[in-house]
Amino acid sequence: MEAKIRALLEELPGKEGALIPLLQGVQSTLGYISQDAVEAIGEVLGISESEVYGVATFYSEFRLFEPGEHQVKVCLGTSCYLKGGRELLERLSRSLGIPPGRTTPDGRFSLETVACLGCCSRSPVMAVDGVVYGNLTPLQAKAIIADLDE
Amino acid sequence: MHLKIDDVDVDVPAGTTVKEAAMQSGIRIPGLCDYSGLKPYGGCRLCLVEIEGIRGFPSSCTMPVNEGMVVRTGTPALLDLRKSILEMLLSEHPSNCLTCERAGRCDEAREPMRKVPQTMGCRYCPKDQRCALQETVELVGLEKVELPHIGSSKQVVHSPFFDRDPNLCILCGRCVRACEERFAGAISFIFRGFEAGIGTAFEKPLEEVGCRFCGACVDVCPTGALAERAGRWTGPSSNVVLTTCPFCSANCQIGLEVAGGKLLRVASVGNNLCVRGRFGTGFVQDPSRLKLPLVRKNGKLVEAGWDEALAVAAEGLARYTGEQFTAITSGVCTNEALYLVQKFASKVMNSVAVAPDAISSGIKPEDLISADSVLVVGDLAETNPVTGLALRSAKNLVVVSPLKTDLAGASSTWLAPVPGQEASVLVALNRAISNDDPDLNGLGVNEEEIRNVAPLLAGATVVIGPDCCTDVVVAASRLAKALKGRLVVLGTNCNSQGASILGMGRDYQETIQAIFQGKIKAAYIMGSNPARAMPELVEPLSGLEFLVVQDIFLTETAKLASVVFPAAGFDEVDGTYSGPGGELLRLKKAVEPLARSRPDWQITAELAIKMGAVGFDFEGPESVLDEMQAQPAQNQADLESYVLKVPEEPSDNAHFILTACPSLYSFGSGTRTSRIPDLRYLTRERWTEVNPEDAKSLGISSGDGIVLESNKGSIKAVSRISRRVPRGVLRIDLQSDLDMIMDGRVCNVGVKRDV
Ligand code: SF4
Ligand code: SF4
Ligand code: FES
Repeated sequence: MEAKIRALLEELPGKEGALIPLLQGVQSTLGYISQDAVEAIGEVLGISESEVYGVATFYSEFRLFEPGEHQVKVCLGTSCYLKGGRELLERLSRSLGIPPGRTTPDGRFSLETVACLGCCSRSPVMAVDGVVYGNLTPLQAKAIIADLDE
Repeated sequence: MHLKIDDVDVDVPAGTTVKEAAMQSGIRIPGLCDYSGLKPYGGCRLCLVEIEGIRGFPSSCTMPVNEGMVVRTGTPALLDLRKSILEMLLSEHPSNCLTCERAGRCDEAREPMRKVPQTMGCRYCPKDQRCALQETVELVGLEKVELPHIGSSKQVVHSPFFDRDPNLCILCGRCVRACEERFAGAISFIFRGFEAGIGTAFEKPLEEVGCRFCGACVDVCPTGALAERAGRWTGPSSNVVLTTCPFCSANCQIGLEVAGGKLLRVASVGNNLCVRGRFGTGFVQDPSRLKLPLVRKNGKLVEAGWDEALAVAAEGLARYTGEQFTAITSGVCTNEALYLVQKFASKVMNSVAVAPDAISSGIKPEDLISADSVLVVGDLAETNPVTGLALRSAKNLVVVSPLKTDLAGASSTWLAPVPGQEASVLVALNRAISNDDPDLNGLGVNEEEIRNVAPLLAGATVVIGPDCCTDVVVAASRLAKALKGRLVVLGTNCNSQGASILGMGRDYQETIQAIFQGKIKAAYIMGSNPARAMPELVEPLSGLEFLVVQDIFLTETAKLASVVFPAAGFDEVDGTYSGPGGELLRLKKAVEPLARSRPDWQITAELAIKMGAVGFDFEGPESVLDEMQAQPAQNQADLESYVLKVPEEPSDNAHFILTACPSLYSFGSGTRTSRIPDLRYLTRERWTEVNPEDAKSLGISSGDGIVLESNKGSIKAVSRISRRVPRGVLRIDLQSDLDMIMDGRVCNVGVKRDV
């Protein structure tokens, strides 16, 4: 991992301001930011792993858990938020037993929030493995997930 | 620079902040994120002021002064603004008690309320009456919080020594900055918005992200969010007694918080401390402290009165004067105690008193810190953390260490020899300086490195940690001479320098030999636990005909004694240690000696008097010190004639070099630190640090059981992946039972998984 990070750093102008590009680089190759990656970035940049983690958790674009087999994204953009996105999220979070941003311990599902899926006319919406479902009630959302879990 | 604050004329140097300038002229501006010694942050917005010519309300803690500034700190607009800012802040912090009209008058209900698991208000909070929020509410004059309360019920995070209650956190970031200041970076702001808080990477335990439990974060936290568990519910202290830390030779000053004749906890007095001084002095309150003298009767140690115990000891020792007797002590004791035991040994017993750690030669701490060029051998982050921290700022820092120690990481040049070859690197440096060919065979350091760094070292201060062996000390002393620089050999204990000044190191080796050979028949051991430090001494010590031990615990050594005297703790006596430059450091009595225990110096004096000696009649520790200072200087241990050993070549039939190094969490032989439960927790496994690459090829991960096997034997251990060790090297905490696999401090081992 450390070697990979060093290679990524080679392509950047220097250590200054390299943290975010490195995190992006890791996310685009791994799909998420692993514990290993956080440690290695800290080691390479000479900052602590907690500092790296602090920055990574500040930006919602970074995912800190290995994505599940099925990736559930709930939209919390203004329109969805007003039309019940929060309730969708809460319901899913409860039935999967994980807070947003995590993956179930069996690795089957990961739950995330997104800022807009570009389908405001159908809000509230969620996307499961890239397929967008609109005009959802919390119960419908739960049913869609339950179907996948069969 | 000249400015006007609330019509008061103020002169301060450039670079001062407006808030500091106001404070200096006695004007108080509230503020919760600002803290002296930490970088200004400007997060809480409570210190807003008005400045003529500047729009809006700048925060005074981040605003540097300017010539001719006109500042107002208390306009009605400001007072209002501060109230609403504080109100907003308190809408997310339990505020029931803060603005309660019966605040401070609910004593009857207090105790049961504290059993509530969550802090709902000040009377349920460990920082009650020591909290900056309480002060600020008063200062700002906030009477009511009318905003709806946004309660959170996040999990309290328990760590060794202290807890973090995120529900009380106001996100001022003081703790994060304090930790950065210590170069630990263990904690950081994490997440954002409502989830925002202070935490570690992936919420790992502090000990896994570089925390060294220095307590700096706890010291600066304005609220109950970070509070130590010691003295949690005792409330504020009635006074703070300034004294000297009883552990390492950094000799940090610590504050003992006292109330009602009891020690509550230790407070930093604005300086840096390490875990031992901050959280490790509770051993004096351990229930197993000795309370009465013990005398052996029918093979068993039984409690006795002082008169009886002194009489038995006096009669027993009187039979063994001269070479059959020795006194062993250590730099854990005060100058007064050391001086008297030495006087006792020579005047009453016609023999000598020795100490294992009396090798220390220092310079004044301020000279050490201001040295431009420093060469360090040893892992100061483990042995002398506060000294190590100070040395980070040296302009030219050269470190000789097989491990990537804290200082190696901060150094300008890091020479990384094979473990055990440190002395040879110093010899090679010495040769390079005198243009000889440095012989670098098998050292693991190449010629270019040596040639590059040698010229940079002219006049350097050579600092040798207490974890270095005699060879390193000797090589360093010769190198320092060649460099025309200074030599600093850091002592092991708080008063190793005192023992060294008294010349107690000269006869130590011979004395131990004489014990092994059975030539010594009786001994008086004070403040030293050789049976724990060197288990092979248990047998010869039990073979002594008469042994008197003086300590605060029934140590491994005391268990072998004929008579045991209970000594008072470091917090129970007045006295002095000698600092590295020979300066006197005070030890101040904060509480009365426990039960019937007595100060060391006094016990020795009484014993001498009991044996009919004259010249032991002292009024107090001050008169002992006066007499000691009137003595001529003693000869020091001689480093010149020492012949350097040729280190063994590591053989290659085993894969790894195992190096045993001292640990921050276990001081000396551990007699005192092992009595602190959280220090025990931090050393609960025999952790062996493995380089990540090696771990990969061995197929082990952190926490796996492993077996280390040398020519001598094998032991079980637990692996811990660490970037501090290079490939091919394993680091293990120095413990006395390591003699099962190694004789010195370095050996070759094979590693396999424990199945
Ligand atoms: S824990 Fe204390 S010091 Fe740290 S941010 Fe919270 S209130 Fe401030
Ligand atoms: S105890 Fe010291 S090292 Fe640990 S988090 Fe607090 S400031 Fe940092
Ligand atoms: S003290 Fe100035 S903003 Fe907090």
